Amino acid sequence: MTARSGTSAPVAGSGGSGNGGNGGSSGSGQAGRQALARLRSYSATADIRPAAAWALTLIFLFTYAIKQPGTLTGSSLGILAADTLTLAALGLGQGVVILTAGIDLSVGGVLALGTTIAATHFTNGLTIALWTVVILAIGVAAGLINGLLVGRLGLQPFIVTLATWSIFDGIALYVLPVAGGQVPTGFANWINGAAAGIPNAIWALAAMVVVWLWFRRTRTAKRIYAVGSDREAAGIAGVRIAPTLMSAYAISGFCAAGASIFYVMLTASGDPTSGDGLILPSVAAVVIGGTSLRGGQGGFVGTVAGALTLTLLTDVIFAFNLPSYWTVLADGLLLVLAVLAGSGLQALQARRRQA
Amino acid sequence: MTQSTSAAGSQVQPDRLLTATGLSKAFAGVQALEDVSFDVRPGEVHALLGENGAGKSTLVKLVSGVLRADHGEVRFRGRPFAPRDPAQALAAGVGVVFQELPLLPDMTVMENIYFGLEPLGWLRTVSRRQLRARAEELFDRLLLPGINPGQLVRELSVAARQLVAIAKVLAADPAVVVFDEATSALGPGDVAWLFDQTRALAAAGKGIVFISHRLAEIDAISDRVTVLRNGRGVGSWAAGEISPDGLISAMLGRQLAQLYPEQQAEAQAESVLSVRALSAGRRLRGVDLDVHRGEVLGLCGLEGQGQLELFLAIYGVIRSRGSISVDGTPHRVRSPRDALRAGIGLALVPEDRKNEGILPTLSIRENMSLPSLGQASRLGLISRDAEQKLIGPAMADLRIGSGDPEQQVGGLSGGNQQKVVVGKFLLTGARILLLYDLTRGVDVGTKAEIFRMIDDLAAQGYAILFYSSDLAEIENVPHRICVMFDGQVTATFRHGSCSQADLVAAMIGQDTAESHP
Repeated sequence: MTARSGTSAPVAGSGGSGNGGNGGSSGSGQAGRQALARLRSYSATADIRPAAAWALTLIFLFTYAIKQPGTLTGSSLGILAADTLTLAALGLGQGVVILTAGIDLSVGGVLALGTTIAATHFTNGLTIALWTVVILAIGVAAGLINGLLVGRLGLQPFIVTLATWSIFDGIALYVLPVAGGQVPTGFANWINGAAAGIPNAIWALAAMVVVWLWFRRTRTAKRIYAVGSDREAAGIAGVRIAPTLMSAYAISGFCAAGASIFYVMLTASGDPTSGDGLILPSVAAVVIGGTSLRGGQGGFVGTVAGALTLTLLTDVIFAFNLPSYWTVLADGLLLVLAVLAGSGLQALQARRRQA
Repeated sequence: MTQSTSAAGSQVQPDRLLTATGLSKAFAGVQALEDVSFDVRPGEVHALLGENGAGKSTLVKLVSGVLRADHGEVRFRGRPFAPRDPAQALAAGVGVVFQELPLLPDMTVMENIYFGLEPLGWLRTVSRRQLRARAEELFDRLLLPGINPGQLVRELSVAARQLVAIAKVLAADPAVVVFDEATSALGPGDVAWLFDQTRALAAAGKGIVFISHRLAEIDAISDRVTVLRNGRGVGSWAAGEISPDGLISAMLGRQLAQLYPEQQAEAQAESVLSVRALSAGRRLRGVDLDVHRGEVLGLCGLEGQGQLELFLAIYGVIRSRGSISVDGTPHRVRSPRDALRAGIGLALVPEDRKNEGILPTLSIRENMSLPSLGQASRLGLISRDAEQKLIGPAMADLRIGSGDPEQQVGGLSGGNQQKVVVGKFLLTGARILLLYDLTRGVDVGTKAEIFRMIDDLAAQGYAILFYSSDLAEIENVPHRICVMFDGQVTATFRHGSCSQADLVAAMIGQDTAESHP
């Protein structure tokens, strides 16, 4: 006797009862019904938050396009991508840390430090290549320090990265006390260039997405998701927690350093306070993109939409001639709405699963 | 059949698969395990028994690398064995199915089963296609149809999660398998499946350690029993060498007068809770039942037959259709607040044992007075004296812990934590108590206390709806028993008028002569 329970209810053959009167159309009707049922069960289980974030992005894009007719041309979209690159790169790393149920406020400090080093040391092709490597290495080292304090010593990510943010900001102020410095124009202009008819900034954004899609399927990524999903269970499944956290923070440091290069291209100078205003947006982009602050759920595909939305928000406010304080205010409003919408969607799905 | 012959054959061999010698472990000065020795032979099912806190789980954690022993040694196939973590232990051949269901909730079934062992494809990425194929093959082999390998673990029922946790360990084909209360979340059908698997493993020469609080299961499956008490080994017996009563005394260190108390009073005629045509979602499809004054009404069913939904609907957690009357007056119960106002209290051991209905860092006093703070407030401030007065009688009635209301609830035993949950609702003035699987994973001494509490409350006139996944309890504790099948009550029995076989037949939907009260 094998009375099985605990598994999902058997799928009843839908052809059994209503076959008689339907005639010729029953075959296609049934296929359609099955497809609908499959879609329904998918929408009840799949994470639809990234898709919702992209829908929001498109709404903003079309709103802006109505006011500014040239928006949907290649060069215009290139500018949008260029404006988004810094935030997207920050969000890529921030998102990885948030997946572990942590947070990395020090991305602001790493970004600021990176821009000051670039603005004071980038002079020609050789120094650019050399110092870019140095900046990225500093980013990784900064992340490893965070990861060590969080992972090995078990300190709170919020406090640790709040402290290191200030430390890296301090070093940035030592390197370059006031905003300024300069980088070769040829280097800065790359971000506005194009290859094969497509703006370089869009290439760069696409490259980040491709790297993410690869990374998401590696074992390292699985370990990062696992630690964020349930730390104890991850440990029992053989994940070593401290090294995994260190890798997540190192990735975040690397991405923040990369973001500083994009920032320098965009402004052609360095700024020791440049990071401070980007910390909240880096978290906001991740959250608007559907990654859960509780860890274990989400990814960069949504974060890109979150970053684009935040950039477009500024543009839309500008296009509608609203005063500039609206930008900051609307950032916060959007973040609250995103969190509300995220939990609302989840509740809806949970209810649908139950019914 | 094959199992007994192979077990007998293996006992001739002197070799041991796994031996633990003189293991000791202390936590913050408390000796959780002291000089315990234990071994597993090939082809045997070795049961490990003991009350909660006796050290069973600590022993399992030491063997599997979750914890490190202070003293003593573990050997596997004759060599010293000190795995870094359970994953490494599993890879080496010692697999543990843990009690606390530590699966990764945001990952799919197949990702959980093969975590860290995923087939890698192009650019070292995990191949979902191969992963799914492997998982499907495994489920076929283990006769586990109906679990979708691509489903997120978060969305599975606790029983299905437990089955996945078992499948994960069996997938690695370990030489020693430890089931740490693997059956506490399973219904009878799944337990039968697990027993089949266990016998097959033993027949194949594996060593099995089986931990359960259900003595009937120990009796049915084990070749040898070892009992722990207060962190020390009490003794080991071959199957049949010791009676269930003997085992209970060994676990308790004293005679247990009676696990199930004699019912002090008959139920009265007057119906207190009356439910008609109650439906909710797809799981609950028109339930009629009455709970009378002073009555314990037992409820049983296979997992997912609507019993949880019934409790949640009566308590207003999920929306329902149909009528709920208290003392003959219909009530709209749309939220737990409504239910409390109608005098209904729910003590639920949520399926996820990690977040029970308690606040572990607060004291007994704070936990118990929480739903009735209004009664303990003066001008909006909480008066500690008033709180004390409020909870004092309930604490005494329920015999909670040492009687100190300032004790942290997190530090209490499981049984005492359950009593705090029940006590909370007594204080709100609830006269109808919904007790959902209160004894799951609870040791036999605590169970006896909980049953005595239930009987005391019934004798005082409370109307109690009692669900348990343990059939022995259903047979012995309630005055009447309702069986749920497919969202409805399909059979009703009187206390003493049915065997467990009758109950099981009704639970799997077989027609039985319905004996109406």
